[in-house]
Amino acid sequence: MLSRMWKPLLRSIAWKQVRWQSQALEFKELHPSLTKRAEKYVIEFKKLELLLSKNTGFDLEEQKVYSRLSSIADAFNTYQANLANYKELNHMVNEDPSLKDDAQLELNELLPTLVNAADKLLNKLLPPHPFADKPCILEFRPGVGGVEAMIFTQDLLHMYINYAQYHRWKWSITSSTKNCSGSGLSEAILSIDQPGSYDRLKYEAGVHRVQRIPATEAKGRTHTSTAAVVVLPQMGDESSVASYERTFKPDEIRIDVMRAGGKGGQHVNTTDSAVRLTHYPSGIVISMQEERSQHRNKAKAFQILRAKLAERELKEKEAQERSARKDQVSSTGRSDKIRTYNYPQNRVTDHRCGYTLYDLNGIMAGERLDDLISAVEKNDDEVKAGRMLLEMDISSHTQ
Amino acid sequence: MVVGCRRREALVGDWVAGGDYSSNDMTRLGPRMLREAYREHRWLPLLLRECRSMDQARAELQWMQKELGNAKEVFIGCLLRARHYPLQYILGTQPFGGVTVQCRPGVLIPRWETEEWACEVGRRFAKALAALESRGTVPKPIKVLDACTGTGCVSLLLRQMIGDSDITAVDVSPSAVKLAKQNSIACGLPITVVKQDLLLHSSSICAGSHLDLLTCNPPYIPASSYRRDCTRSVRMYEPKLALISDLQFYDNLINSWLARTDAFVYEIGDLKQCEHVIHRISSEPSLKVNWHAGCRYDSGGNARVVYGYRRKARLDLATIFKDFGILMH
Repeated sequence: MLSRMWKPLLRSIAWKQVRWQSQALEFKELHPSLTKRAEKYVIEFKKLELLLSKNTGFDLEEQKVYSRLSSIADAFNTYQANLANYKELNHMVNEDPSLKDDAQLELNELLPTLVNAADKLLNKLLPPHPFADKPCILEFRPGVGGVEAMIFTQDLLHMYINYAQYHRWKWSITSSTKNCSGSGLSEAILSIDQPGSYDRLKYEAGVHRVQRIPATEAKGRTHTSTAAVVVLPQMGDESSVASYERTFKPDEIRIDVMRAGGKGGQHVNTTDSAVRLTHYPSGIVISMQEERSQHRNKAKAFQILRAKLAERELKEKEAQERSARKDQVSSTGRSDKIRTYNYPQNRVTDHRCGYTLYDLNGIMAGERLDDLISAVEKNDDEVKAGRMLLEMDISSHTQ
Repeated sequence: MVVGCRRREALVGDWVAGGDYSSNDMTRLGPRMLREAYREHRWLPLLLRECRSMDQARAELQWMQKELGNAKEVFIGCLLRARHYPLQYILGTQPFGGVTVQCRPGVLIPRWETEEWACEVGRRFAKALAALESRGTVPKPIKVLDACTGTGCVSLLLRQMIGDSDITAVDVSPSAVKLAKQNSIACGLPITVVKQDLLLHSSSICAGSHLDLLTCNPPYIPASSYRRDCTRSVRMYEPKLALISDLQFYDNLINSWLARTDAFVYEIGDLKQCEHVIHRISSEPSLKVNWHAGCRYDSGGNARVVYGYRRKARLDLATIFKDFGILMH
């Protein structure tokens, strides 16, 4: 009796509980070769600063390098200062019994800032993603699970819209197709026009899994369904699309529009503005019928084609690099199932870093999605840093 | 929304009896399809009468829901669509290239075929002017006349794409002139709009100046094929003044305009009209040596444009019109 009363109550409470392993802070000093690398950047930064102070001319490339180096130098300085402080306090704790309690207290306060500074520095030291400053396009498609998967696709779309709204990013729905029964989506494309949003959302690509009792289920059984998200970089806005269209050879591209037969022109007033774009070399086909004018549908289709080609190129390059390394890297983004949304347990788990958050509503409202993304990002940084260290080791051995 | 006379008639008038096929569209709307549509949305069957396909009906419903204020307006829109009332009049606008023009009963709705060639012309002229500017020669603003302008769509699009241009739009219909003026203000693109009958008073339009480009989307449906070739929606709700005519405008082009312009782009409804223009040019000795002329097809596969340009002109017209269509003279 009691348990029957308690169960729904327990379920309704938002458990804002975080896994302890990721909460308990333990600090590990950055690898000495990484520190060395940071020092090299700082020296370079000082040289460049001197050069720029003498030079009056403005060079865009130089400015870009300068701003990157200056952010590295900043992060490094904060890290160094915090680290020195940390070492001193540690020393005190171990050596001076009279000050031990005070020092321990201060140490506990310092630790989070130090870990934060170390993370930041690590992130800055890694080579930036080539599309890091780009806005992005998100593509949603239902996976296994029929109508329930389509409903989940819609939920995911709303989640990212909420996320964009939470950050006050400009967004628009490029295209969306409702399924026949009127609930759920059979396909949707969301474009987020905030520069740099690609860098944040690139980890969202992959298969998202949902476990819940679907609205379509009559007997109250829990189902597992999936939806796929593809994240593409936005390469230039719609106005530059016209010039982009000209970069293709005529035999690479085919544009199909409505061909109703008949005389066309003033004889008919059609509202059918659907455009289908085929890119032969890559086999990409894009259909667009969201806008009321063929011209705009075409522009949108080209925008998506451009994003897809850019992403494909990048993936090929990454694959080449990976095969050159000849290792089996646990890659981020390409692993098939990346996240589980479990409604009965009010839980979201990211499978790439094992991070779990018990606040499904907060996630779906877009407010706590950042926690998840940060966890994945940190995990990714660590993997990449490990790889970088390995490469540095190999190169130092061969020298 | 302005409740036009036709609109009210469409709402209260008798329903067209079943077996509602227009000559161009023979899809049967079976009871099963209608039932499925009804299940998806109660108003979809209304839209199916004009759209004839679920995809299109769905898209139209979405556009109406997005652009009309409330559900009542959308419902009225669906009812009107069931009586073949044009969607563009219900929504009040139509995107045309980079501009959005307002549409109103009594003025022809811009077609996608027109949009296609107008965009192409605008792009080519803008590119030519940009090339001139990069070489340091600053050209005088180019002078364009857009005859039979209707909503003003072609002139506004050219004004937007070419930028530095002096564009005059002419129409004989007072409602078209009024709408074109409103569109010019709404889009923030200054053009001169003149009410004049092209066929009667050609010489008084842009009097004394030489044009760089003359564009026109004249009425081109012969009265004899009006009933056969036009769809029900066009016949019932769009102005005949902007639709019915055969060769008058093309004869007027040869007689009054070729002497005063460097290039022309006229929309056509039939290859015969193009052949007529080219035949007239090649048969008159004075025109024959000075002019090139050709025909352009739209992406629906129909002959859509007859165009021509002088061999010697202020702008490098041979480059501008290279591969625009098929040169026939």
